[in-house]
This record gives sequence, structure tokens and C-alpha cells, in this order.
Amino acid sequence: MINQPGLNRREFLKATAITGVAAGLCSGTGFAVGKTYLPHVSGGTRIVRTCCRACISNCGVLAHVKNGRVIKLEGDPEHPMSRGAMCAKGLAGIQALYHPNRNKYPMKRVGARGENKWRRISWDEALDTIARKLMETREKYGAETVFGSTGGGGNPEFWSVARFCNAFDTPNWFEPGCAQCYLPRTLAFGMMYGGPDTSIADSNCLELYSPHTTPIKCLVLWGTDPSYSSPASGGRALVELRARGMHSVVVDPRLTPDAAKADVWLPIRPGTDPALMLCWIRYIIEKHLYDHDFVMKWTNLPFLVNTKTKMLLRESELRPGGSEETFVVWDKATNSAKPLPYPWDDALQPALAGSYTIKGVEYKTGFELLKERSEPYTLAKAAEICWLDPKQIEKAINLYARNTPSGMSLGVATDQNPNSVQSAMGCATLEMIMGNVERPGALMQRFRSSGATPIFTYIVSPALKLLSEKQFKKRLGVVEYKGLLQWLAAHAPSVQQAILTGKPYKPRVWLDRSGNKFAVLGNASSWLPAVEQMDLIVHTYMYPTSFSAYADILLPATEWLETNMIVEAINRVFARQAVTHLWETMDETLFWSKLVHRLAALGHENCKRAIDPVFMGNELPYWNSMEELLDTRCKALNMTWAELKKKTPVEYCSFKEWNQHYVYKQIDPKTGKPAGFGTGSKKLEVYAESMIILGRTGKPFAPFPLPPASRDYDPLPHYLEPAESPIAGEVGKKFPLVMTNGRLPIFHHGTLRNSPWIREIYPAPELWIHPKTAAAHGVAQGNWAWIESLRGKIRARVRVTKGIAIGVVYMERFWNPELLNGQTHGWREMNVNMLSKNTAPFNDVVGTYTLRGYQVRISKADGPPQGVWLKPADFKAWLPEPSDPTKLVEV
Amino acid sequence: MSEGIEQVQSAPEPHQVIQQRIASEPGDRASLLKILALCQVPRPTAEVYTTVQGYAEMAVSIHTPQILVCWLLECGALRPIGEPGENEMLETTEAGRCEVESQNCGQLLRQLLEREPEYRREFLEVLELCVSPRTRSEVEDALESHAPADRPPVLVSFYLDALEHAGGIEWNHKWQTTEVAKHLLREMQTDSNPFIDGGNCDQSTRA
Repeated sequence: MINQPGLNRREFLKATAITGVAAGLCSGTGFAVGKTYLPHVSGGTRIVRTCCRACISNCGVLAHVKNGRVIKLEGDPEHPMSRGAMCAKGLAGIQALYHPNRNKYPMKRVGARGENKWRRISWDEALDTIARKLMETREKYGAETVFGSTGGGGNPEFWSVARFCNAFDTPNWFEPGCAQCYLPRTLAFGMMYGGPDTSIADSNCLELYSPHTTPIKCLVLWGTDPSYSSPASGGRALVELRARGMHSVVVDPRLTPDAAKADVWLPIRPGTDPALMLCWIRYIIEKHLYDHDFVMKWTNLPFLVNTKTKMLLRESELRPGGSEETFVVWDKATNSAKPLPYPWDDALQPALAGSYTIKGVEYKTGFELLKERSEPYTLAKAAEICWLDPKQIEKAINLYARNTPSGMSLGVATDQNPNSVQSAMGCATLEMIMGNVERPGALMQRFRSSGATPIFTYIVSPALKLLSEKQFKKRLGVVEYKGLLQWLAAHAPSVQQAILTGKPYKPRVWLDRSGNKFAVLGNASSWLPAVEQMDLIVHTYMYPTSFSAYADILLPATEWLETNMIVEAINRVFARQAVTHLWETMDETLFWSKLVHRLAALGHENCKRAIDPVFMGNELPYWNSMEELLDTRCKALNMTWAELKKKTPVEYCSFKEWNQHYVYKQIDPKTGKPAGFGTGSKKLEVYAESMIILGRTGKPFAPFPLPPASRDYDPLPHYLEPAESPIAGEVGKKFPLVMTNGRLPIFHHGTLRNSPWIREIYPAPELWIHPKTAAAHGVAQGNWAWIESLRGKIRARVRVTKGIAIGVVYMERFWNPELLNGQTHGWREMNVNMLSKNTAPFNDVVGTYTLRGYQVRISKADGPPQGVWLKPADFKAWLPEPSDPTKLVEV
Repeated sequence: MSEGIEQVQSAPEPHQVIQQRIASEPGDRASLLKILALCQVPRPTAEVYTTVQGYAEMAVSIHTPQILVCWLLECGALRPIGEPGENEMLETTEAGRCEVESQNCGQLLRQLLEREPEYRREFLEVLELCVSPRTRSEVEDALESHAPADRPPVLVSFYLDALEHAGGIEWNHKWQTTEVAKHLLREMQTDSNPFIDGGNCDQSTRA
């Protein structure tokens, strides 16, 4: 018998709207898995089981709907990751849905850009206008001068923009995340492991959601804070695990709730993560704490590397007729180089370390090279670079290495500076040498999937075959930053420079589906001259943002409560089903399809192919309705979308079938050998030769050959001191403090700054500063402060706290919707991205710029910026108001 | 250092206001300049709307002639003559005329060639090529045959965009060299080279 969920608890949560409490209370409730649960309600209210999309966690939600209105939201206990929890972002869904400032219908600008004068138009007119402008632009200047952009701000269908761009035959789209958010990790883990990374916020690390069975003993949270980024799912799960005795270590400049509960908190200097990771690697190797057997048999670290070419030695180079796919080790038994057939040869005694000479050429093992790379990073050195206590570093390493199975979850923090890919490689290396791969308790797993959401967790495929070779090669930044190819994206700073200089060509039409580009792009004000040069800007979103002020056409997108989508969680599939539909909003997934259909009707050859079932085959032609697309994806579940909505959630396999470990040991029936990992060698490629190949050729992602990058990508992690450094160079003398950012539990990227109750909780951005730093710079708790970098100057309210390191300050992104109609459009007053840096040096593999780990200075300000809302009464204007039932509109 | 909010600047000159307003509408720049050129002789408002609607650029403008005229009135580039209604006329203001002249005299072309000497040969080649209307692909094919290897590559739209902005070519379902640019090419073919001599601006408009 299931206990009624604590409705009193949920009422309490709603009253407090404090998300951290939500995570703490959702433990040990004893919900049974697998039973349909719908609370008893009365008065004509229906309960709709759906999933949230206020962030990317997709938590289960029960929406109470009365007379067509959503009147209450609560968590769905059937969801195996959130288990009935719901955070403030999700609970704000009703206010988001009924926000008085929703974009209601398409609009066309009639005043100057920024004047906020609009005329309502029909969807037909909007689509026709946009399509004709795109056709003319293609004819005049080339398809490549049209570009798209999207964002991670709860975008329910991430690949729609990429697919549209491929259909239109432009190679250019970007998002402010990508190289600055998640791509470094998906790339590193994808290349080195062939499986998912260890991001909790992105719904990996699924081992954590089985607290009763997982044996994980220690979790390292490196640059991630699930209590803030995914409080209802990941944050909630960690509460249970810590309660069951799991140790934890947090590496984060901020004392987050996770850090407060950790055994060790390492308040690292922002931007220095690879230095600390190399220190961990060095310590683990020196103390022999790594899993020797696993490293020997299941990584490529015993393989010999030509120290001049940096490439692994193959059997084909050792002897004629040898295999290109067999690598070579140094056999201690015969003191000679021997090919090592996959997966192993017991007759050999490969050396794990060492330097050897073969035919006059020097070779070292991958392990030897890793040792050499990590050698400088002693505890003392790492402590000096990272501003840490060496004893605490050592304590943390020992917790991780001596309490196994352990796991290291890496978050977005390390993605946001030019050491991005190196940090991801460092984390992957540590997990791999510790053997924390696919065994019970490990975060790195390749669990089954239903197949209903085949592209990461999305249902729209990018349809790469639509993009021609000629156009592909015009992608801005593609030659230098080939790591972007994994996401098919262009390099955002390269797009900006092309607009500003006209070289190699000038992008001139911008189609954006996301929130507020001016809040989230690095060095935001540098984009204003680029925006002003656009022939056409189309902005699709749920409500106007600062970016909308510069648009020519505004299109109204659906809120998540109006959206249909398939959501997979552990061994279940849920239907996020629209519970209502307001005005003329449209699911963007459908908008892009309609635009392609219109372009095809105007004669665009590639768009005609994109709607042709014969050409598209299993990539799906563009759909005529969301149901059509969803029905196709639901075939993986042997049902229709309508059936999924009725039955949701559906178990596509039992939990036991899903929870399979040691996938690499499963026997491949074709070869009779273990399947291995998803890499070329089937071993974990800790020595990432594939990075070198990527930089030289674009393989494995480039569908067509590309010239090499200007220099080889590094096959091992390395550390670079931030370009703006507090310890070297002139900038640090004038701007002595290191700036970092980080999530809050009430926002997701640039979203929800217009949510009235959430703004009451957090009306203005806070600048976290240590008491000693505050005293040294003349600011105190509650003061307003100016914060200044080489690029801009903004204000924030001071929070003095020991929860941030001396010499470091923290501030989260912010913009002010209440100032949209003003001169600044609300993005310049308190937006930390007025300060961040989008110029070289970039990460050499993916082109990351610097959102965290740059230099600022502070001084006391007289008060807040003029016109910003701070008092609870200010936000009443954003509260939904009762109205007559809205008309049901089909678009 | 900017404090994130625009500082109050001294009031710009009328000509600068018009220049900034037109520059802020890159998608309709050509149409806006044509309207100013058209109304150098006062015309009935209705006639202006009809004429503007016939411009090749308006086929894919997202705005109506009425909106464009409204913008030009707001920034002081046009002024109404007479009472609103059937008899109302529109006339380009003095400041508006200055803007037309500054765009049409060939000065921008001259500045482009001085600013981008590495690409001068290709710019002139495109101008000569487009004396007969050409598609983008035709221009691209002509340039690709001898793309120099000694500098970062640019695509054909770099040339088209720069020349269009400088008033050297215009789009009417194909790219075509403007009268201003043709005049300058003719002069360059004779011994008189306005790019060296600083020859007279050609006051003829592109309309």
C-alpha cells in the first residue's frame, strides 16, 4: 500500500519555495516503484502526468487542471530520478505559463530596433516573410550567410536548429553553451570511452539513483553542485546517498550545500582545474592507488607511443602484413616489442611504464607519458597554483582513491574557460585509472536505452546528410576547432568576427530560438555591433527578452506545460504531455518544420529533400504535426504517442535488465570476443591519440576531409595558466580578483528572471566575497558594489561570506526584464557577462572562451541601478491574473 | 570605462541622426536611400508609396513603404508638405540630401579600394563583370578561377557585400553594377583615374 505522499510537505515546499529544502526532505519515503499513482482530487480537476522542462532534468510532474487551467503542480513519485520531488523552477511553471508578458502571437517590428514597437501578424505571414527573406539572402549572398542559434535554457528540442540549418544548407549555428557548456565533456568522454560523461545535471551518473543497491563509497563533485543545478533529481539522490554513508569531496570555489555536507571542500582558484587533476593523477600513480590490472588490460596505457610522431605503434609498422588495428607493447618476458592482440594475451608481460628503443626510434608507454605529464604537479605545486591547502588535497585524493568504487562527476564549471577539454580529459583519466568504469557503483556506465530518444535525450535528429560538402567546409571555425564537429556547431566568436569584418563572408540573417543572448554570451556588449548589422533577426521564445528588443520578428514559443515530448528516465519512458495551449504559441519543433515546408514550396532544393520520405529514409522527413514525429519515435516502444500518453510511464525493460554492468565484457557474437569500449581500439583511450587525428583530419566527426588545425591537439591533459591571471601579467595588478559564476537552484541559465515569486527570493544578483577580501576593498554585507573588468562595469549586491575563497568573487548571470522597455533593455546593469571574455586564447580543440576565471576589481557603489525591481510588491505586475477561459487555437 | 549604461552624449548633427538611422536598418538601407533620392523632387505621398513598392528590394523587405517613409520622417530625412491627406507631399530635407549625396558620389567606393588594397583587383573585376547582370554563382565561378593563395581566403559574398554597401553594385534579381560605378570604371579606362586624382563626385543617383 502506498502511503499518500506528504501533501503537507508539498504545501510546505510551496510556501517556502526554498529548493534546498526540497532535496533534504525527499528521502526514505518508501514509494513503491511501478504502481500508477494519482492522488485523490475532487471538484472536476483532472490530473495530467507530464514532465517538467524548466531545466534539463525533466522531473516527473503531476499537473492539476481545472476548467482548462493549471492550478497546481506537484512532483510525480513514479519518476525514478525525482521520485516526487520538485524544485522552485518547476513549481514556477504556472507563473511562467500564465505570465502576462507571454509572447502570444507572431509580431513584426515597426519601429526602430529597440523601440519596442510591434505589429501583430499571422503565422502565415511570419513564415512567408521569413522564408522569402531567406531565399533572397541565399540567392544574393549564399546560404552560409544565414545562421541559427539556440540555447540550453530549457530548450525542449535542442537539435531542431541544427537540423534546420542542414536543410537550408548553411553550416552555421551555435549556442552560447556548446564549447562553454557540456561539449568539452561529451567530446572527451566520447573519444576516450565511447560512452556518456559523468554529468549529473545532464542526467548521467544514473548509478546514483539506486541508493539501496549502489555500492559507491565516495563521490567527487568537481565543478558541479547538484543541490543547485538539479535539486529535485541529482541533488535529492545525493541526500539519500550521503545519508547512507557515502563520502563526498567537493571541488568548487563556492561553499555550496553539497560542499557543506562534504568530507572535504577544496575551494579551487577558478580556471586551474587541470593542475589539480594532474596532481591527483601524480599522487595516485606514485602511491600505486590505481587499479593496475584494469589499467593494464582495459586501457591503452601499456601501448607504445612514438615520442616523435606522438602516434601509437601498430603491428603493421612493426612487421609487414601486421594489423593496422593491433597495438604494440613492450614484453618484459622477451624484452622486445610485441603486438598485443585484442583483448589480451596471457603469454605476454607488458610493461606498464618505461621508455624503449625500436630500430633507433624512441617509444614510451602511454602510462610513462602520463606520468611525465603529471610529474611537476606535486601536492605543494598544485596547492600553490590552485590556492589550496596541500593537506586537504591529499585528504581528498585518499578519500577518492581508497574508498572504491568511487566516482567523479564533472560539471559545467570546468567547461567555461580555455582549459575546458583538458579538464574533461583529466576527469576521464582519473576515473579510468581507478577502474571506475562500468562496475557496480561506477558513474561511467552504458546502460540500456529505449531508443525512443536516440539523439542524446532528444527526438529530432540533425540529419547531417542534408548538408552539402561545399557548404560544410564553410562552417566558421571548423578547421581550427574540430571538436565542435561532435555537435555540428560553428565557433561563436568566429561568427561574430565574420559579421564585424565581413571576412571570410558576412553572416547577415539570424534565426534564434532561445532566451536572452545578451545575458549568456561572453562579453555581451561586443555582440551589439554585430546584432545591429543583421538584415533580419527572428527570435522565438516564450516571452520577450533583451535580445527580442533587437529582433525584427518575434515568434511565440510554447511553455513546457504546453509541450509534448518523450522523456526517458532510467528504465522508464514518460510522456511530457501538453496540459493546455494558450494563444497562438507553437512548439518550435513544429515551427522549423513549417519553415522548411515553406522554403521547399518556394523552390529550395535542399528543403525539398528534407521533406522527401525517400531521400530522408530513417532520418525522417520533416513532419506535419508533432504527433507524427512522436508516433515515429514511439515505435521503439511498440506503441503510438496516444498510447504512451495513456500509459505513461512505460517500462521498456525491467530494472534488472536495464541495470547491466560490465558492458565491455559482454561477448560480441560476431567476433566471439568482449565487445570492449566504444573506441577504435575498444580499450579506454587514456592516451587520446584520437585527439591528434581529430585535429589533423576532423575524423571521426567530419563527413568530408578538412585541412589540419594550426597545431596538434594534445592526447593528454595539460594545464595553462589563465590568460588573465592574478599571479602573472599586468591585468592582475589592476584587476586583482578572480571572477567565477555558478548555478542557483531557482534559475536555469538565463531563465526565470521574470518569475515573480522567484524574483522575490532573489531580486538582485549577489556578489559573494570573503570577509577579508571585502574589508580590503571597502565593501560590507548588503552594500552595492561596482564590479569591473577590461570589458565592462556592472553592479551587484554584496554578500560577505566565508563560502568563497579569498581573492575570488562569485556572481551568477542576471538580467532585468523590468527594464526591457528602457534604454538598456535590461542586459547591461547587473549582467556578469558584460565582464566576461570572448577573445583568444581559446581552447584549442573546441574554441572555449572565458566565462569563469578572469580578473575583476570592485568598489563600493552608491546603490542599485536605476529602475531595477527589488521589493516583493514590485513583482506583482508579473503575477498571473484570472481571466475568461482562453480560446483553444490551432496553429 | 563604460558603466554598462550609455553615457549621455552631445546631440548629434541632423545628418548624423539620419546616417545612424539608415545604418541601423541594413536590410532596408538601399530602399531608404532610394526614397530619399526619389523625394529630392517633392512628390505626392501616395505616389511615393506606389513607386517604392515597385523597387526590387521591396519584394522581400519585411516592411511596407509606409513604415520606411515613417522612419525617414521620424529621423528628419523627409518632411511632409501640406496638410495630411490626399494633397500631402513628401520632400527630402537638406540633411537627407546630404546623406544621399554622401552615399552616391563614389566616395565610398574609393574608400573601399583604399581600405582593402589586397582585394582591389577582385573588386574591380566584379564591377566589370556585373556591368551585365550576374548571379552570385556566376560571380563566384569567375573569381574562383584565380583565387590567390597568399592571403586568407574570402568567399564571393565578401566582395558582393562590400561593393553593395559602397554603392558599386545593386541587386535586381541579379547583381548589377550601378551607374556611379560604371562611370568610375569608364574614367579608369581613360587616363583620368578618380581614385588617384580625387575627381568630381558623380551626382547621378542609383535610382
